[in-house]
Amino acid sequence: MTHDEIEEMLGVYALDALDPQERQEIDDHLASCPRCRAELAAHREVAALLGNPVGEAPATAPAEVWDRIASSLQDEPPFLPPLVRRGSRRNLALLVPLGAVAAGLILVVALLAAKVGDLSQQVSSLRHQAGVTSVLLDPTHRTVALTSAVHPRWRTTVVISANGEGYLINPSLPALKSSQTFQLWALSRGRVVSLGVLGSHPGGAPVRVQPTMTVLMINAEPLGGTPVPTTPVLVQGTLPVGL
Amino acid sequence: MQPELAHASDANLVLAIARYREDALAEAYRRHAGAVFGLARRLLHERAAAEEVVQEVFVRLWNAPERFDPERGTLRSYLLAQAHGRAVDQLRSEVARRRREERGARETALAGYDVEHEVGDIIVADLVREVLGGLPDTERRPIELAYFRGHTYREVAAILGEPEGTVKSRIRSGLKRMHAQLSVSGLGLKGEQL
Repeated sequence: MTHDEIEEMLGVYALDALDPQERQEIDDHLASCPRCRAELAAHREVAALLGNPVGEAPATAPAEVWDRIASSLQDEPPFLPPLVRRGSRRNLALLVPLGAVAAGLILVVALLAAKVGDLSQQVSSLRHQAGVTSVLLDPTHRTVALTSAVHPRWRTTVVISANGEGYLINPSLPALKSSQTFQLWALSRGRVVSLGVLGSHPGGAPVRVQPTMTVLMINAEPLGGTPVPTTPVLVQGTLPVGL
Repeated sequence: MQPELAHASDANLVLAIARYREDALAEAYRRHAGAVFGLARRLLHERAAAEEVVQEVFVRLWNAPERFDPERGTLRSYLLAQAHGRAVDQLRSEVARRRREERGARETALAGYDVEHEVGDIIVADLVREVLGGLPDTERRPIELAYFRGHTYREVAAILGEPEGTVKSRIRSGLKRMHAQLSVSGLGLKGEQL
C-alpha cells in the first residue's frame, strides 16, 4: 500500500475495524511515518471518547473478577537452579549422624534467610539473562553506549534487537543514596518520557524502545521514581535511526 | 493498600505497577475497571465474556505496563482502547463461528438491523453523543457499525451497500470532524488539529 492508501485506512484502524492481515502492513508503515502516527493518535482519542461513559454512572466491575486477576499475577517465574543435587541428600544421611544433619540444615536455613534479598535480585537478573542472550544472538541487534560528558567512568550499554526489545548491561554508575533509585528516560517526539525505575543495580534491566524514541537517559530520582525528571542526567546516548 | 496510592496520578500508578506493586494495580482497577467492563459488555452483551475482557486488560497492564504511554492519552483511554480491541476480537471469532453455522442467513439479518435503536441504548457522554449525532448519516452510520457493533469496514460496506473505499473515507472524515468539534468543545484533546 502507498502512503495515501494507508492514510485512508487510519480511521478504520482506530476503530479496530481492519482485517488482521492489513493491520500488519499499516503497523510497518506507522513505525516510519510520524505524520500517520499523529493522525492515528487523534483518531484514537475520539475512539476512546466513544467508549467512555463520562457523565453517567459507570458500570461496576464485579469484585470476583479482581480476585481472579490477583490470583493470576506472577511476580517472578520459577527460574532457580536446584539447590541440592538429586541423590546427594540420601548419601549424606547415611554417612553423617542425624543430629549433625539437623544442625547443618538449620545453618543452611539461616544462611538462606539472610540471602533472601540477594536471591530475589539474582532471580530477576537470571530472568533477564535469557533475554540479553537472545538479543545478542540476533544478528541485527544494535548497541547504544550511554555516557557522561562530566565523568568518563560513568557509562552503561543498551543492547537492542530489531523489534525494540533491549537490555541494559555493564553499568558503571555512581553510588546512590539509600533514598534514591536510577530512573530511565527517553526523548520521544520532543518530550521526555519515563521508561521506568531501575533500582540501585540496573544491570540486566529490560528496556522497551519505541520507534519514536531518539535519546535514552538515566538519572537518580527519589525512591519510587517520578513522572518527570527532577535531577540532572547522569548518562545519555543517542539511539540509531531506524530502530 | 498504602494510603498514598489513593491520591497518586494514573501515571504514577503505572510506575508502581511496573515495580510489581499489586496494590497499585488494585487502585487502577478500582478507578477504571467499571468503564472497561461497561464498554466490553456493550459490545459483547454477555457478562461472562465482558468479565474475561476486563481480566485480560488488567493482566496485560500488569505484564506490560510500559505499553501505556502517558503522552498519548489518559490511562482510561488506553484501557478502553485495549478493551475494545479484545472485545472486537471475541466478537469476530463468535461471528465467524456463527457465520459458519448459519451461512448466508446472518448477512440478511444484519442488513435489516436497526442501528438507531442499538446506539440509543448505549451510554456515551452527552457531548460525544451530540457530536456523533451531528455527523452526516453517511459518516455516522459506518462509525457506529464499526465501533459499537465490532464490524470490519468490509462488513460495514456490505451492510450499507457502499463500496469499501467509500466506507474507509467516511469513517476517516467523520472522526476528523468529531475531533475538530470535540476540541473546540473544550474536552482537552491532545492530538493535533487535522
